[in-house]
Amino acid sequence: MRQIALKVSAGLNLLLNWLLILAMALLVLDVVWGVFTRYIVGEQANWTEELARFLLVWVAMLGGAVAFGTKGHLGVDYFVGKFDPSIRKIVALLGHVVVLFFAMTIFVLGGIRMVHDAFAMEQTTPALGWRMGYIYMVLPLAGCFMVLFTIENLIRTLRPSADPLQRSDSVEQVN
Amino acid sequence: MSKTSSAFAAGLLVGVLAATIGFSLFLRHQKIGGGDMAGKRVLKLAHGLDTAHPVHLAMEFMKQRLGELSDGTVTLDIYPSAVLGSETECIEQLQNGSLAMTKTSAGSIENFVPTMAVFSLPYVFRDETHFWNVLNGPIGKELLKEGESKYLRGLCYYDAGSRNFYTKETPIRTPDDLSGLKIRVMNSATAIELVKTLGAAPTPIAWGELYSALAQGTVDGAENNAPSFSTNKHYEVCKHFSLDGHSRIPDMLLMSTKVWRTLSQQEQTWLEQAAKESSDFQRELWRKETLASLEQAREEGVVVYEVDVAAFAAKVQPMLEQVDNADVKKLLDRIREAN
Amino acid sequence: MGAVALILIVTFVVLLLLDVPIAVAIALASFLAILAEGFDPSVVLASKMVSGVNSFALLAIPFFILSGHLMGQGGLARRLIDFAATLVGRLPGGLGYVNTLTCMLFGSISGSAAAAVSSVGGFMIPEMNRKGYDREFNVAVTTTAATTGLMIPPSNIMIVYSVAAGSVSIAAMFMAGVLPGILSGLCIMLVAGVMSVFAGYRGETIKIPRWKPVAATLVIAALIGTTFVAQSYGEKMGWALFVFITVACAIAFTTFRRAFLTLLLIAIVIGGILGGVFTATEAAAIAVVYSFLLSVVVYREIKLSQLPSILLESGITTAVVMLLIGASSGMSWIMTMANIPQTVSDGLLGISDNPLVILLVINLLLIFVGTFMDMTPAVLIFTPIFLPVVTALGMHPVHFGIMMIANLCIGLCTPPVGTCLFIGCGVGKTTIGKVTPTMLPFFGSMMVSLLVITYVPAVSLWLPVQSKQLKASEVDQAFFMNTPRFPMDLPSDSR
Ligand code: NA
Ligand code: NA
Repeated sequence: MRQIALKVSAGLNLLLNWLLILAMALLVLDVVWGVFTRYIVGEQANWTEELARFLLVWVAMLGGAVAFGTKGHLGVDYFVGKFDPSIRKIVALLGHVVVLFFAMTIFVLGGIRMVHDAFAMEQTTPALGWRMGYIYMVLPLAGCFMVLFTIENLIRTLRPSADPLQRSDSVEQVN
Repeated sequence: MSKTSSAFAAGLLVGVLAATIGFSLFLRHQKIGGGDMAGKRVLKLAHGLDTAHPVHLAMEFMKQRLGELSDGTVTLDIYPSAVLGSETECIEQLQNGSLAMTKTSAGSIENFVPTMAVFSLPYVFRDETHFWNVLNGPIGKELLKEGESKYLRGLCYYDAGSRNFYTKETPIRTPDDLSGLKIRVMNSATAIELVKTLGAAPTPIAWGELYSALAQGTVDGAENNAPSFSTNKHYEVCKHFSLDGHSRIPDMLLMSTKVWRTLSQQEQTWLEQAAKESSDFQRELWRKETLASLEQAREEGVVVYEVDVAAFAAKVQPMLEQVDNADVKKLLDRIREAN
Repeated sequence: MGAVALILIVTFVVLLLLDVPIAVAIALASFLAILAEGFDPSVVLASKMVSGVNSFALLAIPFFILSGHLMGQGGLARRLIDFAATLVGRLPGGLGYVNTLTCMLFGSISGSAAAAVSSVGGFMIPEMNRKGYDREFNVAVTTTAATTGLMIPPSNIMIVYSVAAGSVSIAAMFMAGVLPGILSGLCIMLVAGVMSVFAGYRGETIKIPRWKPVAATLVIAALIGTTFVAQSYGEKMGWALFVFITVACAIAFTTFRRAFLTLLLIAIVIGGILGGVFTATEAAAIAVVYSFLLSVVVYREIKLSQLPSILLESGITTAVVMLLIGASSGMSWIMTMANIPQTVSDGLLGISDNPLVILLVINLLLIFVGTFMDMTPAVLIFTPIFLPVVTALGMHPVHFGIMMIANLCIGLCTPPVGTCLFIGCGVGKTTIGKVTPTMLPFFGSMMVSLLVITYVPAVSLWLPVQSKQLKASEVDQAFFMNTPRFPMDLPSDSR
């Protein structure tokens, strides 16, 4: 049972990673295409900017979800690091619950309402004329992945020994 | 840290967190349950313009009038300079009820209420009188209600003047003078199409980057109303301003229908009256501002050209004929027939 | 306002202490505050998460991150080191200068300091250790020098600032950062030099004629000078300058061929933005394409099969920053709704009517913030709070942005939370405790540059005015402009 769950989770993770890679690649191609049309063709297609912004939103939310899986988000472990290990474990569990609340209320719940409102109000995007609801769909989608990864983290914290696939937690920061 | 002191520290943190949650819920309960505790209703109004802009001054005027009408029971909190978000974001906040009112360009509301696209088209109105007759007449009143089903209720229109071309080197006296020039436009399909039809190359650039784009020659010119031209000091770079008045896109004061419904009948009447008065106030202010900005531009050495508007209108006529939205087409015909 | 501010601060601090990710702490502190104000927190925050990120200006960030990854793994950093070594390697304590100069050069093609510490430090620190330099000295030089890359354009944090501050031009910020970045680099070199003399570190023996590095330095100085002049003449001069740089580099740097193509990237990115050829975002995309071609096709240090993982890593790094930005824009919404910036502004302006004093207070507060908070959230949270104060004093938003970044650069190198310091200690295999005493003189030099940047606005504002990124008329009235200054109005700018 646990094996199947781990496999499904690993599969979803892989899918998410490829979505992110695809979005990043599209992002570069889109902006380069914009520059190209402006300088070579002489007139910039007006949808490139809009598409780029939406791709960035998708990269941000999907990558944000991945980072919860890889513990890539910045935190301050200085204070907690001084705690006794048993208490540290409890605090870590509490932290996962807090993240769960964050993902459920803002991304899943808030996201579903944004999607619903945007479709109900028939809001469209200026250049591409798409339904804004499709863009907002990334919120609940990313939210579900965040919930999934956080539950995984929660289980890991509860049963650290049972986990053969320790993930790397070194993700570079931008500063 | 020892186990006991760790547990104590962690417990303290969790306790403080729990207390804060309780405190927040208590405040919310007071705010919503006790609603008009002091018998006072505060409406939040956000917009993207600076505090010296006629629209902001008109809102301050509206706030004052609302206070007088309601004897201080209804008041406005005005948030200028896009501190609560862009025009599109503010419209969304109106729809979900987290903001009461906002000012938006009829151009931005197009993506929520498609018929508003009519205002972005060139030379829809014969002149300023025609423009205001339509807005204050039955068509304008209908359009204010057009967004009702999307939780957006229009209260009044504000003047945003007419948009005109201005350039660094080549004066625009006839439509043909535009040919081959790179002109900055707003990133809207209609604006791009308009400039293209006139023979120039439309270049969408963010408003904040425009001054340096003009100074460095990334674009040869831009188009906007006279006050925007002057307050942003574009006269330092562009010495030719043509009064071609290719489009008149009004600003609209919108209210969240969700918030509107919570107001009493009396409060709604006050608000409508204060909005109407602020609109008149703003039109007068805008008229003066336009004259003053053109005067200032002239003092800075800008040549202002009176041009043959009909020639420009004739050249973009195909755009009006190619409108494919049936509602917009019908509206366009009605506007033409109106006085 | 009081209650909302209390909820925001307490929730944020408690969640931080509990080691909750910062973005989550910001979002949930805002959640409670929005709840208390009677709004619907999930919808407001979900919407702000998207709209905070939905910005064309921010697009430059993933691109600079991506090109940073490509350059780091594609061998570009090592070529810059060789180049810097031929320029300043002979001097006593030469590797300290080489290290600083490389960090500055790397900074001028990458948007991030962390990338500089790991790429430059990853090679330089072990090399310096081997040559007998003190381990702690090496880490201290690298971490502090890497922060100059945040002021030397391009810089991701400047983009974040521009977005947080509203309509501040990114090109103007980039231009404004050049001199402060060079200034702080020189101050670090000075400290490194003095320490090297005391420690008796020797220079390197380099097998090229002495006149070559001198000639190269002169050419670089001439190029910088030409850039300033060229800026007054717009896009055409931008291209002319580009051609000139290419030719000049080709002639002058025949010994530096290996670094030549890398240095060309600086010309493309910086020249392109400043010459008005393309926006910062487009320049960043071009940098990606260029560093891709260089590392995959020319240097062949990256295989095509490595690309997906580089894209993935960059995507995640981007997302971490973007989630912070989204959450912070939610926090800034509720702070505005509760009138917090206004209240803080009134309070600070009430302390004194002397700009010198208020700026000192703001700097002290920011240094305190920087010790325990990372740069991105600090800029996002404190820009809306302090900007109204300083603009009321007549300070230009671009000048304030540079000051704030220069200040928070110090925080990147201080314990307990200092990204650069962590990476530096990791690379240098030493501990924060051991490095800190050696860091002190370097902190001193950073403080000196900060003071100069704060109180001499011309250091930040002179260049952007010359390059027409800022209107001379707007800067003329700017804060403190009447004190020691560079010639602000050249004849060409007088109206
Ligand atoms: Na940089
Ligand atoms: Na720090």
